[in-house]
Parts: sequence; C-alpha cells; structure tokens
Amino acid sequence: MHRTPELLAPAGSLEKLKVAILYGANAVYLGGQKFGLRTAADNFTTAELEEGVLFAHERGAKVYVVLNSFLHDSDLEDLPEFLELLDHLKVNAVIVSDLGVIETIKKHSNLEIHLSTQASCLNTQAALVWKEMGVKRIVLGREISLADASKIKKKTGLEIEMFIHGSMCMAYSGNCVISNYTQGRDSNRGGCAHSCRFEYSLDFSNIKNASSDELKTYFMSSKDLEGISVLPEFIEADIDSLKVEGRMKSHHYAGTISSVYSKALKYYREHGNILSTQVMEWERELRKITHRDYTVGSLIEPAGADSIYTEREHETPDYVVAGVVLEVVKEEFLLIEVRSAFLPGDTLELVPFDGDCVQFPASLMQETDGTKCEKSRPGILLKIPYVKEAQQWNLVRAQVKQ
Amino acid sequence: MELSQSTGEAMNLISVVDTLEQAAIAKASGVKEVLLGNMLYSRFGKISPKRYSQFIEEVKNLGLRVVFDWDILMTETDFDLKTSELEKFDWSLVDSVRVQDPGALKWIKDHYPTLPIQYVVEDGNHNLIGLKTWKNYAGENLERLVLSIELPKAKLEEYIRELKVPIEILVAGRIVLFYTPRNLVSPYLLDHDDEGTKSLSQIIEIEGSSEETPHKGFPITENLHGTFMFNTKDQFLCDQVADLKEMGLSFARIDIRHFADVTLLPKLCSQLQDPSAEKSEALKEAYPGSIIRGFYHVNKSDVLFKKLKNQRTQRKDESYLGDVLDVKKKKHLAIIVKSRELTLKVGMNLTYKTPDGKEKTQNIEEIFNSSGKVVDEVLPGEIGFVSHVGGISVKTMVYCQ
Repeated sequence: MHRTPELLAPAGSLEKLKVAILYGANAVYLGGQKFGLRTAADNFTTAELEEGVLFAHERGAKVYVVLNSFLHDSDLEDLPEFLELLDHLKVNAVIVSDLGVIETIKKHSNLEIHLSTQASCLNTQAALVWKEMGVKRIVLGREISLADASKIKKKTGLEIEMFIHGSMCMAYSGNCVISNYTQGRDSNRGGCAHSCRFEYSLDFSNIKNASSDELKTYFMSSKDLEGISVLPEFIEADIDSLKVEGRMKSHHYAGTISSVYSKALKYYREHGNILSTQVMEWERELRKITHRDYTVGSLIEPAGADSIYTEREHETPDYVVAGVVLEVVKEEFLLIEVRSAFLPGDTLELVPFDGDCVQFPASLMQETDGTKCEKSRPGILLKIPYVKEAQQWNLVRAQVKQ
Repeated sequence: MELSQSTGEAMNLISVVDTLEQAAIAKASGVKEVLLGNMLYSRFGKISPKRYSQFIEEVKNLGLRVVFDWDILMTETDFDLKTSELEKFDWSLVDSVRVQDPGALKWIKDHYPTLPIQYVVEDGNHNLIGLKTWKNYAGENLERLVLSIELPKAKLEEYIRELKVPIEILVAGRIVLFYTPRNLVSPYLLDHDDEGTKSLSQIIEIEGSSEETPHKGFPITENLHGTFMFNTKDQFLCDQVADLKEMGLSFARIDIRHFADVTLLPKLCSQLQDPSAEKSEALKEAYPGSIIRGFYHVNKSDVLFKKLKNQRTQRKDESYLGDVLDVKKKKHLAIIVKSRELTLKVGMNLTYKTPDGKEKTQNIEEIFNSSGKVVDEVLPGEIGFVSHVGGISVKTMVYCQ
C-alpha cells in the first residue's frame, strides 16, 4: 500500500486555522500582513502567527507561511526581520515564488523553502533549477497531470505538492497582469482583481465559423478543481502534499474540505483502496460548500472546453453554515456565532471533527439576553439545542430551502 | 511635450519577422537582429517547422543576426516532446536562443553549452537580488537579459548599471496580459472539438470587452500554445530615446507583427536611431493603435492595497484580549477571550477599538457566563458577558489597559 500524502488546508485567519486542523488537516498555509498574494484576506498578525503555530504544533500539524509575491526591491527591505520571526516561531516552511526572496531567505534564516505554484514550475528541468536554488518542495503548476507530476518527483527527488481542490487561475500562475494594467493593482503582489471572472463581450465578426458575431460570456473563468474522484491517482503518483486553495474562503469551506479529504485519506489508510460509493458520499459533502461547477482540471488530461465556468455567480449551495459552536454547556445548550439566518424548527446539522454529521431540530433559539429568537441573524450569538457530540469550533449547517 | 535627444551610444534594434519581406524591411531599417518564431516553440510564432531552417538561412543571408525564439512554457510531456525534436535541430544555424521557461534555460545550458542565451525575465522579476542570481545561474553564455516593462526608469537604470550584462526591453509593441494553455475562444466556433483546436494552422484573433472595466477591445489570440490577451494599448517608449540611451540600454525590441502596415517599422527605427520631436509626434499620430508608457515613469501598483481591507480590524499589540461577539443594547457585551496569556477579570480596565475607528474604555465590575452565572474570570477561548457600552459594535477589538 502506498503512503498517504499530507493534507494542506488554507488558513485565512487564526480561527480558520483552528477549524482546518481540528477537522483533520495535517498542515495549513497562511499569510502574514505582507509578502503574500491575498492582501484582502485577514492574514495573521505576529501574535496570531505565534498562536497559530503553537496551536498547530500542539496537534502535530505543520504551518507553512506564504511569501509568494513577486517582490520589488523596496518590498524586500522588511523581509529579513519577518524571516527571523518565522525562524524563531519554528514555522515548518515558507512558500516562495521569487528568486530574490529565496536568496534573502537563505541569507537570513534556516527556513525550509517550498516553491509556490505562482512560479509555474511545469517540468523536470525547471524543477532541477529550483532545486539548485535551494528549494525542497515544488508546488507544481495546475496545468500538470498526475502522471507528469509523478515523473518529475522521480527524476528530481524533490517533494511534490499539488492542488487537489479549489478555485483555479485560468492563466499560468504568475503570468497574468490584467489587474496591473486595468486596475493599477499588481496581481502578483496581492492585488488581483479577478478580471478573469468578468463577463466579456467577444467580437467574432471576423471569424467565419463562429456561432454568432458577438457573444457575451465568461470565457476566461475556470471551474473549480475537485480531485476527490482521482484521489487514488494522487496517492499512486506518490504526491507528498495535497493542497486546497482558499485562504479567502469561509470557516465552512475550511472545515468541510479538511473533514472530507482527511476522511478520504483515512479511509485509504485503513482499506488500501477507495470505493466509488465512498467517493459519491464525499462528493455530496463537497457540494454543500459554496463552489463553482467542479472539474478535474488537468489532473488526468489537459483541461478542455468543459473546464470553463460560463456563469457569473457561484451555484446556490444546498447547505449554508448556520453558525460556529463557540461554547458547549453540557446538557443545556450550544452557544453559536450565527453565520446564516435560520428559523425555529429548521433542521440543523452538526459537523463533528470526526464521525458522521448529527441532525437536530432548531427547537431552542434563544438570544444571550434570554429573549426568544424568531429568526436568527448573522453576527449574533444564539443558544441552540445541546448535542452531545459537539465541541468548540464545530460547524453547524442548515439546509437551504429552495 | 518632453522629447528625448540622443546623447549616448546607439541602441541595437531588434524586431520579430515572419517573412523574408519583413526581414528585408527590418534590415533596411537598421535592425541588427531578428527573432524567428517557430510555430512549435514561440508563443506567437508563425513560421512552420518545415520551413524554419531554410528561412533562417535566407534571413542570415540578408546580414541579420538570428535568434531562435523559444519562449513558451511547457508541461513535462510537452517539454519532452519539444526537446526530442530540438535535439535534431542544427543549432549552428542560429546566433542565439531566447528562452523563458527555466527548464528550457537549463536544457540549453546542459546540451549546448556554447550557445549564446537570451533569458527572458519579463514576468515576476522585479528585484536586483533575483536578477543577479538568474544572471549567475545562466552562466558565461548569457548574452542578454530581457527585463520587464513594469520596471520604472529609475530601476531600469539601476539594473543596467548593476547587472553588467546587456539588457533589452520592449520599446514598441503589444503588452501580453494573460497566457493560458487552455483554448478559450475556439469553444465558440461551430465545428469545435478540443482535439481539433490543437493544430498548427489554427490561429484565432478576436477582441473582447467587459463592462466591468473601462478598457475596451482587448486583443485576444488563440493558437497552438493556448490563449493570450493583450492590453488595449501598446507599449511605446520611442519618445524616450535619450533617456534609454543615457541609461545604457543595449537592445530595444520592436514587436509590431500585429500590424499589417509595412511602413511602420522603418519609421520606428528611424526615430529610435535618430530621434526628433517632429518624428516622435508624427509617429504617435501614425501608430495604428493606442499607446502608453505603462509603468515607465513610476510603478505604484501596490498603493491601493491598504484600501483592500479595514486596517482597524487587525490585532495591533500584546495587550490584545479578544473581540466583541454580541451586543445587546443597555444589557451586555459578549467578549471572547482570544489571547493565550490574558484573561478577562473583574476590576480590569478595557479599551474598545471599534471597526470604524472609535475608542471607548470601561472598568469591569461584573462578569457573567452564558448561563447567566457570575464569574470572576474568563479564560482563553471562553466567552464572558459585561455591561453594555454605547457605541460598541460586533467585531470591536478589546485591549487591556
């Protein structure tokens, strides 16, 4: 039986880090206040970073810090101080795209270096270049198939990380500067305006065999990657780490993907294979989080026309996160922070860190001042019925009424 | 209107040609070197593999220096296919090879250690440390670095001085905004199938506009290598000749193959070799598309970042205790203790910093838990309820004084 890879989840904030790890992620990646590509994410202050690393390490999980902007000279000035902090906190690695950043890291720290997908490393020869530069792990470009990834691993001896789930750049990562020229925001320093998600009017008037002269379409938008159906291929390819995109996404997302993929990996460890019936069950769970239509991208064959997402908005999910459990008062109630509205009597679903979901009716809905709640509102604290399986940071879901 | 005057050595002019006629025009215009784009290896190459070697010889006979343009990015399978063909290529035909994929750089170094290399570092290389490391890695046969047009002139000047290797930038031509290997346009053709679009001959050129950006008419090209989007305006630095020469720019690239006008190249070359205000103005008027200087004067593409999120919601210092989670007017505030070291205790003085920038203080006289029982202390991870303070909202940050 093959060894199972690491499950690497996004941690856009300290709370999401906790949720991802408690739901089964073996490692998380996160950003500080600078040097990463998600400027609009909460990201981590020094105190949060320290707490996050402690929390992760106490539970045997690893922490990787993204420094994957393409930095300008002036950006590099503050980097050594941050590197010393990361070294001191014993983060497990940093994720980098830029050779100048790599050189600065080698000079000022002993941090392990992983090459970001932003560097679009796509072949063995390129991987060997980065290896010479001091990189220990490569996050391969999302254009790479699992078969190719396996070859690159064997030929280079490097650790290989691949995306298994989440949103995808349509462009070769690091090779899109639309925001730079249209919005004045450097997409490769954290300012991506997601111009590929815009609707465009395409002028086909000079093209003979076009279906019409002009078309309004989301032609540059990619469907989301979902690799659960090819998880055995990831394992057989001996991929070291399975990465999930989404530092900007919700607690619900961080918890659900960590839960589903860690369950799938556990199943493989215990059974040595994965049954299609299991895959269908996990796919049902993954459809409960907000997502665009799913695709396997280029994991098996180069992504084709069916990998283009031609809609503007995300699908309406079947489930929303009703709240996050903040306190469990035994035999009395759960105190949750409400994230989506629900009504008395609605069926709620507790997602435990391990094991099956527990459904229960919202028979108790009481605000913290004791008043009865007629309809929950996002942002309030609410007492709901006690569920014995519940723990702090568990997610509570509600089915969306269509 | 600012106009440059020639003060330094002449810059070498480079262009891209697909036909012998274009090559002859380039030669006559003073171009010293041409990039020849083989369809298989060059992003926008139009020269067929069958004709390529013969074409090189014909162009060389005109007295032009010839560069093999290998600027595509390649997945592992594609790389193996491409290099197995390149092993059969007679590299003595060309004067130099231009690469962008680091894998291609290594392959050329390993297989053809005497072949001069031009390395394209136009994408994602905006610091001197990185550029010096690439230069050192490329080794003795590196004859040129092709730098990003996002570098402002002060940086360009510094890099030319510090790198001590000939530098090239694009001075006139299309700005590539986006490069994907996926076919994004052909799915809208009537006879589309994914396999069929990966043919050598199919090149689709259209324009796209979005109501979500004020820029209209982005040129879009789909070919064998995927789909490319270009800026609506071309890079144009032909009115900056004096600056460019003075800073010691060795190579100025003109890439106007998207225009059919054969008179344009001679005009551009004339201005770059012997600039004048009149020629510059006439050239701007005559240029077939809109033009910009891009980031040449200044690159402030990170100044908007601070506006992308509320800086007031960031934890600031070590006295941070937690956040307000719930507010019940005239009743209580719910505080979750997020600090690992600090606890919420009776008698503490707290400072509240709201998301909209207000500050309030409070002395804690009494604390309740969620069951309504009085407690003396709230530990890390727990929630405590204290008296209401006006003006405090959810997500207010709580600090110990």
